Amino acid sequence: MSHRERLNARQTKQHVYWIERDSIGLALYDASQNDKELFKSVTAVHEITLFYHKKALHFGVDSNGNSTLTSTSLMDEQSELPTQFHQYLVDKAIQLGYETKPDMIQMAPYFEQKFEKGIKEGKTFANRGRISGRRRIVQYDF
Amino acid sequence: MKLQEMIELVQKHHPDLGDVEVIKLINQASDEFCSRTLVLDEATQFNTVANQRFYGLKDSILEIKSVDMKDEEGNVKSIKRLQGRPEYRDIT
Repeated sequence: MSHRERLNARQTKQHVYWIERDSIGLALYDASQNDKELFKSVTAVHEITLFYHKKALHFGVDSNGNSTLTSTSLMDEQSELPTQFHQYLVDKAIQLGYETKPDMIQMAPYFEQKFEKGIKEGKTFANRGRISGRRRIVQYDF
Repeated sequence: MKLQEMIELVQKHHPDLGDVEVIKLINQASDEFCSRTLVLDEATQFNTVANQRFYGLKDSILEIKSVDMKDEEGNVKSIKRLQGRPEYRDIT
């Protein structure tokens, strides 16, 4: 393939996404266009799949955001987090409780330390490559 | 661990707190744990609308890892993330 053919065959259009104002923006990027026409909104119906990290569903709220505080099964609910981390949520809740009591506030750091241990374990668990891609650390020279 | 057990463990230290208050504290703990560890992953699908540029994200989403798009031929391709945002604005 000649150099000219390679240049002509070069892909100049591609879809891109970006995050802005709690929304995802989708557009067709066309490098051959002028600045104003560089990004065009998608004109056809495309199926989009988002892969993301998320917060666990709150207790007392269903997946549609409705309150389940009066539900009879509320007390049987379990956190979406792996079971080995449930105790750390209890530790944090105890810490937060002590922080609201001036006479018992000295108890809070003990439970905070336990929660921080859980955070460390959680990061290791998230980074082990099974449930998500490993995180890459990119080095830069300044 | 069931919610009931979690509440009882917290109430051993804070017998003055009601169930709803304890649930709020546990939810707060859960939010912090998830946002700092990024331990939970999920995927969701939606269809684009012609000429619509922005699509709202659920509050529970902490960080987008990647985005796939199905093209006209039915091939699913990963699309690239733009650094920054387009200079010329279209807020539809």
